[in-house]
Amino acid sequence: MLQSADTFCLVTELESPPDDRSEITRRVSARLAAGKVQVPMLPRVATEVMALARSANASAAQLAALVHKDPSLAARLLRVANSVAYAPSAPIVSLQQAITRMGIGTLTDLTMAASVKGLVFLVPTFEDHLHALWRGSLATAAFAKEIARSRRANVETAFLCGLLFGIGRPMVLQMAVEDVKAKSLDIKSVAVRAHIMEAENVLQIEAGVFVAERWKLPPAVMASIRFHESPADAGEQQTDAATVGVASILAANALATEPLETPAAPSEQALSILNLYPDEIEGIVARKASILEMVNSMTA
Amino acid sequence: MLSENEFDVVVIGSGPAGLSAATEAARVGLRVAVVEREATVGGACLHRGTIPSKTLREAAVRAVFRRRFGGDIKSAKPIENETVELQPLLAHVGAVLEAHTQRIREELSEHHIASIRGRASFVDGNTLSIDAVSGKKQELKAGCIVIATGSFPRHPSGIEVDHENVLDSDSLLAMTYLPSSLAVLGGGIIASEYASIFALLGTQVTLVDPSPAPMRFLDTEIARRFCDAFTSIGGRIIQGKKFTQARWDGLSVTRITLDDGNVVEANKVLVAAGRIAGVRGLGIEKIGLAVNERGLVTVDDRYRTVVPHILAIGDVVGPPALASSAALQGRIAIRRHLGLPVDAASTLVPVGIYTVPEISSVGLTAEQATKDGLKVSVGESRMETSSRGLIAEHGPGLLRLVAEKGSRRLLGVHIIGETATELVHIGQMALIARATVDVFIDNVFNYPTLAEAYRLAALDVIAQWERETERP
Repeated sequence: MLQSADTFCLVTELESPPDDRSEITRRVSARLAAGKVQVPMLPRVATEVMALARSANASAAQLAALVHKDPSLAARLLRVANSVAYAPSAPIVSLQQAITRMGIGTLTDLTMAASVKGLVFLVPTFEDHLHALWRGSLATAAFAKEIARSRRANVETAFLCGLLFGIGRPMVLQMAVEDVKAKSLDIKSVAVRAHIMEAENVLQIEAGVFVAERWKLPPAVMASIRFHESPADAGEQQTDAATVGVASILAANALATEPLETPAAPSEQALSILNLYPDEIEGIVARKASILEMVNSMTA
Repeated sequence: MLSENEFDVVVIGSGPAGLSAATEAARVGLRVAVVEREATVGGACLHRGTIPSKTLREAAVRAVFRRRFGGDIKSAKPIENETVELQPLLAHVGAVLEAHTQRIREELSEHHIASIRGRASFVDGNTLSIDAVSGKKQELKAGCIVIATGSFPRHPSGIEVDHENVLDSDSLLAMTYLPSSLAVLGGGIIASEYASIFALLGTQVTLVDPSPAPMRFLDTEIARRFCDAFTSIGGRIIQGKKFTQARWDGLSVTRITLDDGNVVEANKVLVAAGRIAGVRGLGIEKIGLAVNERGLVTVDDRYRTVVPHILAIGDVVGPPALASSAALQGRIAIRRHLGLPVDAASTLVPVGIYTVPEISSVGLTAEQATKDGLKVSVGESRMETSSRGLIAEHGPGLLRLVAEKGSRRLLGVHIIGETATELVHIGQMALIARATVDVFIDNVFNYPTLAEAYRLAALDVIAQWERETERP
């Protein structure tokens, strides 16, 4: 039986959930849906470093030459190499020396991390929040690496997935702040800030997927962004998504500034996909100190 | 009547050994459960070992063939000047694993075998505690418990396996790209297989084998041919040197120190120095069991441990540690436990090695037969000279028949060359039938086929005997 136009509209209205999102969230959502977002490109130095690091003939000198092209990255590398995490017996004064000490793996991790941070983690008035997000991403990446190691999966892929799974959050923040400015709203107002945070939480996955598509990130990263909270929906990438889902919870627990009475527990679904037994999770959590040391050295 | 958690037989492990034992027990009407600690059934053979590595091998051989064709695989030259990603070569493995897993699930279901996921540990000789991933526990009771928990890679002292730069056979295939150089520590089947596959793909492979020759259980000539084939595709073999240390330099290479002081450098290292029985966490000490000096569970010829109603099969009991032999052990163990007859001939197990090229053997080598006091002759046939070998351009291959002088009885078949793992079964059937080498001459095979190599090798051995008879 055909529905009349009026009946059809009524059914549609009844089936659509009420949109109780803030105006800011709606406007940012509309911008995302329309693709009116400027996603910065990954700096060339990041892609070059990663390509060279994979090649058989990568030398510290070649890598150092590449990193020299990006002074802020070079400075960051030297700072990390001299941090307590690497405990140099004498100060590291050259990039080549720093790369030799840290290893190519750490160099690529750091290059990727620094590039991403430099691109999208610059949102005025939300610096503290962004700093916390950044520490969360790094800790998630490090825990993801340990989960992958314990499962004999690829640690490099796990790190990248952990690092980028929350890439949508700073993007939404940036867009929301732009919206607030455009509408001449008071960014210091508690209500406005609450709406900005709402936009971040509601739209972060959508924005993350948008960035991942523009950057042509691998399917594992895309799945980690979309499905880290529901990894069973991630198809062939469900172990990548589950790894990041579990890692993000372990990271949040580890970064808590005060001891948690009942730390959040990873979902049974994710643990089941990864086949991680309680003692194996405990073994991964036991690496908290070295992971925090790495996070501190990278965010110092 | 048995309650929900009571079974006639509980099998710990769902690899080839465990599945075979479980289905054999279920076939005779017993109530059976299989406990598997991993998320899916099939064991290490299916998910980390045999199937993924063989899938990679097939993909590698095809990739080389495709890129050379124009080209062929007879010269088996490595892929040059091309970046090869590892994961695309393994793209097919997911479908292969899914099909296998589905088949196993169907088999379990058809035989009404309960499939329980969790880690088992002994409470007493008839009770197992099962810990689920979620942390929940349950107990199972059984009249007979079969330990079929397989094995995991052994990590020698001094070699820290970080699964990033120094890998084992469980983590090797998680690499997303091919390393430019790979040091393979070990000289067994796994080491030789991966060494030859990666060499074919263009990686500079160094095989560091502490023993005087790789795969020493093989016919000497076949092993020598493998070394020749491996070096012809760019592989390097360091024989008879022990590795004492492997250190990542923090930059791009891992340095492996040998006992003569020499150092081998490689981007990635594969440690393939044997496997250890997977009994950790089983609590076998609670029921009076212990692993022997080789880290294995000791069993008698009926696969009974010192506790007679607890059986052990597959990799946990040691060599030959093959999927095929493990499955056979599962069947034999249950039938003997139940007092059912076992066909003696079925104990003849072929060895299949998926190196490049393949190697396979069944029965005695000439050395073993001579040691047993038998007088033997060896007939040879080069597979590339058979019509099918020439047509297919499979490249060099050798088939060796070991036969007893006088009785002319076939004692063993040893093959190196493409499809060796299939060809060997012709010899296996002849051995089971206790045939003489004449069987390969008196009967007709399809033509042209590689099976012709049997006929040529049989003619060779008969010619040797005729020459010996003609001598004054």
